[in-house]
Amino acid sequence: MIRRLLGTFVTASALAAAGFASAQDPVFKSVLEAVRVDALVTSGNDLIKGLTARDFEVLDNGVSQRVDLVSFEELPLNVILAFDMSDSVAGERLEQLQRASGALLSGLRSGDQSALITFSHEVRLAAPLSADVDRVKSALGDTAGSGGTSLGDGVYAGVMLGETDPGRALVIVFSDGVDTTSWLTSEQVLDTAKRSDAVIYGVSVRSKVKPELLNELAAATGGRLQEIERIQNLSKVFVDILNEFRTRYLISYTPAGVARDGWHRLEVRVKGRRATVHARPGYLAGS
Amino acid sequence: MGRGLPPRYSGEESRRLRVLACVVNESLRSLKCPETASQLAPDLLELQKRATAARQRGDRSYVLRLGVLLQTDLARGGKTRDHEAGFSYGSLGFKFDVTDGLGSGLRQYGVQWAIAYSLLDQIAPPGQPRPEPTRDSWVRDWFVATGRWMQFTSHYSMTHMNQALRLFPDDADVRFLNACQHEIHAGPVLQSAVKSIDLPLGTPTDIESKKNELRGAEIDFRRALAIRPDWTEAHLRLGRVLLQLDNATAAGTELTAALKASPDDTQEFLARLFLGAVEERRGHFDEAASLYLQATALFPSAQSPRLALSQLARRRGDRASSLATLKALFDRDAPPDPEGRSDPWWSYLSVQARDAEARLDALYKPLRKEPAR
Repeated sequence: MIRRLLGTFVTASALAAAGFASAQDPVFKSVLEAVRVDALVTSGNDLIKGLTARDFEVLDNGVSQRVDLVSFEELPLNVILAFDMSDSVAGERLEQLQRASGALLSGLRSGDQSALITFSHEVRLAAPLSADVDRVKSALGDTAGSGGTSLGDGVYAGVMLGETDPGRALVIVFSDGVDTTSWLTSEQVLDTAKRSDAVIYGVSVRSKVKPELLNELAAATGGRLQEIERIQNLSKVFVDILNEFRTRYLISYTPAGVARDGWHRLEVRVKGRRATVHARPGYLAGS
Repeated sequence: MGRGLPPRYSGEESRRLRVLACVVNESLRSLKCPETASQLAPDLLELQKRATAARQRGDRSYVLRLGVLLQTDLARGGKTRDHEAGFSYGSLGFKFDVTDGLGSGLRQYGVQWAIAYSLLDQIAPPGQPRPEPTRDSWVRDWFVATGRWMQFTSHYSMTHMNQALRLFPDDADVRFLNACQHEIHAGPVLQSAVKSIDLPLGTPTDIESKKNELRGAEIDFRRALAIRPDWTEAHLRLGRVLLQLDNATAAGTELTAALKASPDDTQEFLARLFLGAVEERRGHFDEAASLYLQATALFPSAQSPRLALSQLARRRGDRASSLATLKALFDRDAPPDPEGRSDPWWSYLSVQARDAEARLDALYKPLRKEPAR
């Protein structure tokens, strides 16, 4: 969604709250108040590549906007893994999760960063956002499943971690249970997601209980929920998500002719050709 | 003991059971009794002496009480793992196991509880010749102690609560316990678990919709408070129920009452946390932040008030403060907490039953009195 940085000089003390690593020298960033929208453009099963700003039409609350920037596979990624480490994950699921994460991390490129948030009842920053993939791999190796499931709290931490760096944030949430111990309500977590740029992909083991929160979060951020039948398929699912995310356009525009606050309905289209655009349906402004 | 399979006792077992019945009824001299007092085995002789001593103190139900405790011990024998739960399924004698919010098995519900209820119905209060369990404080204490144990260990049973309410409908502790049970039913674990289980169409379960369970909790907490108006914990829990029912004004009143009534640290933490949520709901963000900070001061390692503060700051557009609060949460000097002791929020649905073991122990005390030698 939206990185509202106009007039906001973000010091690295905020940004180094950023990555939740230790504070470095202040780094000042001055970015125009811009709205960023991650969009996947397809025709049937095929990706449409090579589009430019002029190919897109963006309506913000029904008002056409001038698209300033479109990048494709240019910006580095911040891949934030937010993983359920509750009781139900212990055993084979945990092993598969560790293996799948290894496959995904191997697909990261120079400049990409990764982080690991784990949640049982307790949310922990197992590895802060950094380019050091080994740190995440090592933290994954130290994980163990136990306790309840604070899914909402864990996703909140993952989304906020995405706000600590201007890179494109992909939050991959894996959970095989239901939220049993979160303090934050689903509404609060959704509210935060709607204020954030992060795109959430949820991965859940299919059961009779629909993962409603993950579904809503994915829909609200332009991501996707994937319910898997077999945990053995997890590596492919993770790698596919990373590859899909890389092929998304990052569209930027400075809102004009619309209110500064409240919910903004977004429509993103490709001009002059048949295409399906998968992007977030809107954003919460005023934050 | 399976259904349709009558118990088969050996000849010796049958004889001992008949002797036991004679001891209970003080009828060892009856011709129907297989033994006289002088022929009793040492353990039955000891039992007979204790029963006689209790009777001399006015309690004719000593052996019945022992029987209740025996059944209780048997029923409590199987401990579930942490973060697992079980709940009874209508009155059909089955129980579901629940792991991490999903149904994970179905098994027969312990028959021992049913035997205990039958024995309790025969208990005569001290000094009374006839069974009248509703006037026996030990019976009441048994329901409160075992009900609390069930809530503390996540072995939920509405059958148990209904038995307690049948005998003690106007007891504050029983009402409170029943309100807590409704609150647990309204929680995410059981609401989710009941959806995850395949039941034949139309099959009733003990668990209603979240809203109905919350309404049930409100009614019972109010009844408990009508009997005992200064009950801090009841005000606290009623406040949270009302918040969940979107009645922020009434929730604020109850939570403020809890804070004024000398709560312990855990209750104060929870009251400030919940009141923070109430103020947030009312749009009083400064007051909410202040309450979350006060909760953090009480339990510096607790996760919930820090997340609440961070989310509130983010909602107010203060990203830097939101991130700094989250960073402080991750930087806090707290070791991994697999037992979930650092944040009272995590044990909110069982903390009301924290004294279950002590209450169970207390049930044995009157039965341990030595007979005069």
